[in-house]
Amino acid sequence: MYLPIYLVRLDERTGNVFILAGEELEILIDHNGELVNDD
Amino acid sequence: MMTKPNFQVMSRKQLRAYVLAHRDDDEAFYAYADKIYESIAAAESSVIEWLKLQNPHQAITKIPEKSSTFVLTDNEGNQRGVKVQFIRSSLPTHKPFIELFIEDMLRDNQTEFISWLTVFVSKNETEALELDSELTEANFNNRAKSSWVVGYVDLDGKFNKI
Repeated sequence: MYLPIYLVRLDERTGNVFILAGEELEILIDHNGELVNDD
Repeated sequence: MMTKPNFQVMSRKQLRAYVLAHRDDDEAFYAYADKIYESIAAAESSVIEWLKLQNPHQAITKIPEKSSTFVLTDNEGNQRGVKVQFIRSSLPTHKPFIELFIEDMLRDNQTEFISWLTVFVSKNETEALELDSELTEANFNNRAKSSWVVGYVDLDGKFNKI
């Protein structure tokens, strides 16, 4: 399963990293490097 | 001068499209990120409500330095870790996320409490059932050393265990 990645961005307010991929996928990694949310 | 749209009234989908088209617009990105945080916070409180009903005589507290991680303490002071994990995408498989999550659990959580409960929050009932069988297949409880439940948050904002 491969999806195009459209955006990788740090929310510098919180230290979270957002990855936007495919049509709808939103992945959120927290400052500990843990997967918080995939939506 | 172009006026900016009102980010507060935009849907998450609209914001996502706007952020991708205006990559230098920090304000738009923050509005988008906040929308996602709100959605996580709302789902988290639904799970907490459910946990309170399941464990009426236990105190629930959040571990501040960790995302979506809580502690259940009973009358005798015994503690159990609770991790709320959101897997809400509609991908054909969630296996890569399950594997990642098992690694996360083993790396950080194992030593803190003797027992763990992981509450997986899926998108809806159908997806929750699929996630449930993928977790069984991945042997989640043995590998992550945590018991688990899967459910979803319904339209009324209530967490439903499948």
